[in-house]
Amino acid sequence: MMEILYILLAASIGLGISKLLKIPSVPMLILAGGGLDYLNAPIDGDLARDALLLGLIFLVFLSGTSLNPWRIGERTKLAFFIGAAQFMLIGLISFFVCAYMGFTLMESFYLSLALSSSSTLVVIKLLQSRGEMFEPFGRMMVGALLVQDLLMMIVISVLERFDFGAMDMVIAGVLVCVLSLLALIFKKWIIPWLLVRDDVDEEQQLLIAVGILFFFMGVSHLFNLPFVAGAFVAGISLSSFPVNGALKGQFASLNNFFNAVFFVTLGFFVELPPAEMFNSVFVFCALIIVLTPALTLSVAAFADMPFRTGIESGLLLAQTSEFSIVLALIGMSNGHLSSDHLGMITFMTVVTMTLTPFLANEKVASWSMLALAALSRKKDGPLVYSGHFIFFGCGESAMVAVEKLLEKGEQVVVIDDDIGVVRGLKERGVEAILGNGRDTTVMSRANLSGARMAISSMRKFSDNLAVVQFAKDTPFVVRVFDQEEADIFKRLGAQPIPATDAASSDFLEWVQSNMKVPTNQLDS
Amino acid sequence: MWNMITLQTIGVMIVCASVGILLTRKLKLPHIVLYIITGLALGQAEVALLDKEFLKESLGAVRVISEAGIALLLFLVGMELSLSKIKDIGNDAVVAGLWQVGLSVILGFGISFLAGFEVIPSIILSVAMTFSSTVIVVKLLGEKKHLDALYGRISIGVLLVQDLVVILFLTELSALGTGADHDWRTVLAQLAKAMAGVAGLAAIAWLVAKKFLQRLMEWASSSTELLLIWSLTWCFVVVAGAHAFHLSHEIGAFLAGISLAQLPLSNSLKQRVHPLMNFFVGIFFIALGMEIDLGTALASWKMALVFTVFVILGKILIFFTVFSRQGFNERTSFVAALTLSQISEFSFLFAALALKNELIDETIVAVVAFTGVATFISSSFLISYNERIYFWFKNKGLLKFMNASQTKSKDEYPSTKRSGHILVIGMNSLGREICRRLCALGHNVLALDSDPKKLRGLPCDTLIGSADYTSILEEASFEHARLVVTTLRIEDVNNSLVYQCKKMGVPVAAHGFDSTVIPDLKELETDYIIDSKSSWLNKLFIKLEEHGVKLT
Repeated sequence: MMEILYILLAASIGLGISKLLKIPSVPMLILAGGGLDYLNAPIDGDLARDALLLGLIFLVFLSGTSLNPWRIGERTKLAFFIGAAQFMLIGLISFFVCAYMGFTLMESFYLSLALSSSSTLVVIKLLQSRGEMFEPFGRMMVGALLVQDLLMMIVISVLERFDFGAMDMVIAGVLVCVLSLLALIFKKWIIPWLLVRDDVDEEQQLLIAVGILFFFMGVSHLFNLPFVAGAFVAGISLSSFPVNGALKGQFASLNNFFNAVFFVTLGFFVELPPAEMFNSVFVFCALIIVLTPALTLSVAAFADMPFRTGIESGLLLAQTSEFSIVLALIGMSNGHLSSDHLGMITFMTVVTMTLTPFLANEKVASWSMLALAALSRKKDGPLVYSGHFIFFGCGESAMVAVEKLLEKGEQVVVIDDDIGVVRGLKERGVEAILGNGRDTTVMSRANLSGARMAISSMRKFSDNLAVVQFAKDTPFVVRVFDQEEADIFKRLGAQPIPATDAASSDFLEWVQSNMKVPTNQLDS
Repeated sequence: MWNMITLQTIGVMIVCASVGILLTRKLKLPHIVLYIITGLALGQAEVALLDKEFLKESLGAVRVISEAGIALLLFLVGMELSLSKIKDIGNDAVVAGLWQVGLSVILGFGISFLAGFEVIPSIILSVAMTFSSTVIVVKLLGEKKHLDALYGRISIGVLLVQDLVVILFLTELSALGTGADHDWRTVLAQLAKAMAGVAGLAAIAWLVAKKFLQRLMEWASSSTELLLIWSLTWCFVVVAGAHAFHLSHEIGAFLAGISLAQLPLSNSLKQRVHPLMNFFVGIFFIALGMEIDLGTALASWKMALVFTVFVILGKILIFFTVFSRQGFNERTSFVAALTLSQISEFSFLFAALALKNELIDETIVAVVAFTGVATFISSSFLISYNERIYFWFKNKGLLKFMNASQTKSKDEYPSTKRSGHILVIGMNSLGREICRRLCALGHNVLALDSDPKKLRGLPCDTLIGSADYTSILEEASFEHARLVVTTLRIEDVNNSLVYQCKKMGVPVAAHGFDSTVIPDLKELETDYIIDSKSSWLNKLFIKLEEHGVKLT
């Protein structure tokens, strides 16, 4: 049992540092595992290998359970486009770079694949922490990751049969499709019947779900496919509603535990790449960090997406995946890669994942947006409106108000920092200025002092503060999210609308008309 | 690179148990029974993927998982029982435990000796039959949610006393094997060492938890991953401490749990550890069944049957008598006695150690194995249906001979669940605002969130935990709520909550934080969708109207 203690201690330290420094947990767990190796922790090799294997299976399985195509919503095509384009373009470019750098054909294959997909674990956690997981942008990112993970699984299955010739690889591809089909049949008809019923309790649900994991691994073994393919499709078979809801909490615990076990034991086993490989590591990391945002932005422009979405997507996807490590482990067990390659891919993953939160933050995105805006602004002429309505930010709700005002024949000017949004508004005949709402030159151009009213739905408190200070006599209606903010804006002469206050008032109205307070509760 | 044997073994165990669950779900068998039967079947069957060599090779990992499962089980029990609850029954548990151990050893020795066994084997057999199983009892009481009931606390108290005594017996047995000195002074020294170890470890664990863990855990509470891993680490650190003090892992895990029970986050921790424990303990029981050589055990079935009857009836009688004499009422005494009527997992260890030291032969090991399996299975039924059994005996007048008290004690069963409340899930600014306003209107509100910081300062009852776990919803008594409100910005959790509420017939309001989530909430027939964006827009229209623009 001491082995478990050592692994958990390392995981605790790694996760603690990750929270303290606000960086993803995966690289910290791997480094903590490396620390165990450095300190010569007395961990039995066989046990650690078993832990690594179990951790790997649960990592892949639970990744599958969280990738529900239903979550993508209306943006399926766009998600597929971004996911597949990144996978293929980065993969292709990396392949040529690897070949140029002297790697063999097989090594180049594996390395380019490892570079071509992004981390579901890191991206989903970042989206969750920003509250964007279920916003259209978040849905699209989840879709893109699902596509990449699926492509990765197919490629892993096919590559395993590489030594047996092209025909075997084709058969493997077909069998992966058969396995996926079986998973879809399970997902649609069998699993809801097995798990969502009153005579199965939580403990039994969990055991059956894990039973399904091993069943699919057994089938993939029968098909001569890698076990990870079975684990992944088993996860997808359990990803539909309401099965995923019933198992969410239980899977969360398993996920947290086995992720920690996997990455710590990986760190324990993996060796640093040799010094001569560090040049390659540097080149590959730069390739991911520079190329992914640039390519994603180009894809976004091509697909007519808002520029902000393109930039944010690219920055968010600029890291290698935990599946890159899985690929390297499978490549090693197939004899296609050496432990140096595993070390190299792991090291790249640690570096790029650690950098992700620093790159994929609002400041970098806004800076990029402003750079783009600066390029476009020169073309716009000055506006000479007065008695008009100015909207700072134009999301879904603000757009409804804009349209209603236009219907009434009012003049409306929108200020937004997203070139895509501005372009879309202009196409619809709405006057729009590209730029940051807090920028005084932008506010002057919109003639804020001559406006009848300014309305802001910008999220950032500081942006709204800049507007209220500049607006002076112009009535300024601002959306706020808590009472404290509302009080500040009220003092400054603005008219805040607390979003929570509005929603809770409507809700309470419904409660009062539908639910009377029981007499006994009134008495008490 | 990969050694697939462990994976294959665990896979076959889990798949077979899953099939077992599916085939027998109408029978409502206790989980443990199903796991042991699955294990027994796998142990006997010539499954291609599971030959004996196979098992031997994979035993290391399976054993670690099993041990971890038992540690987690006791860790959870510790978290369930606060120090005050343990203190309440501490003295009674010590007295009852010691009386039972004494009486069981004497009676067991008498039966063994009369059955023709020699003195040493008779002692070994009687000791093996004396202890009850912490794992079985705790697991089944947990499933019944009766760990907190008076009979549950007494049973756990007695089991902990037995866990201390068993260390003495195991040490003595080892000494017999090595030929070391084992006079009465050594026994007393061992006892004092064990007691001092428990007291020392408990004090250290309690202090560390109070002084450091509380703040650390609160800081970690926003990261579910960190919270789970830190609490598990704490559990295994204290287990390692117990090991250093020559105490059992179970005692260490229990003390780790007790020390965390004082933290406000303990409730949330329990929910998170529970699934892992279920998974690991399932493997423990299946492995236990697999390791039993049923053939040898059945060869001495007559003798084993005698001991099985002795363990079940004898222990019920001894415990019923002792508890009644201590002043517990008839119901509590009888149900607690039913709960403890099995042998312990230590009995297997004890028999194995005696065999290794050549104090007994294979027959006695087989008798212990048979009795173990039989009493584990019978106990599962006795505990699962303990109330029905009690009332059957009572109605037949079979308990009158004990002349036990009939007075009801106030903490006999856990307090009744709340009902008629409004459960608000997710204490973001919207959730907090809704709680405040509902309270102001006089509603009985329960606020739920996984972050304790967000629950502070609310004018209503609060519960720390994540709505991802059905068990926390059960604790919030959501099925008896007048209304469930979720203000979370997590689509699948909201959808799942709505689905569960509709299934229970509880009115539900959910946060439609984005237009993309609203269609599904409508499809699920959510009673009220909190459409924050529309609400904001309506307020904006009012503002515009104040400025002379009528849009509605």
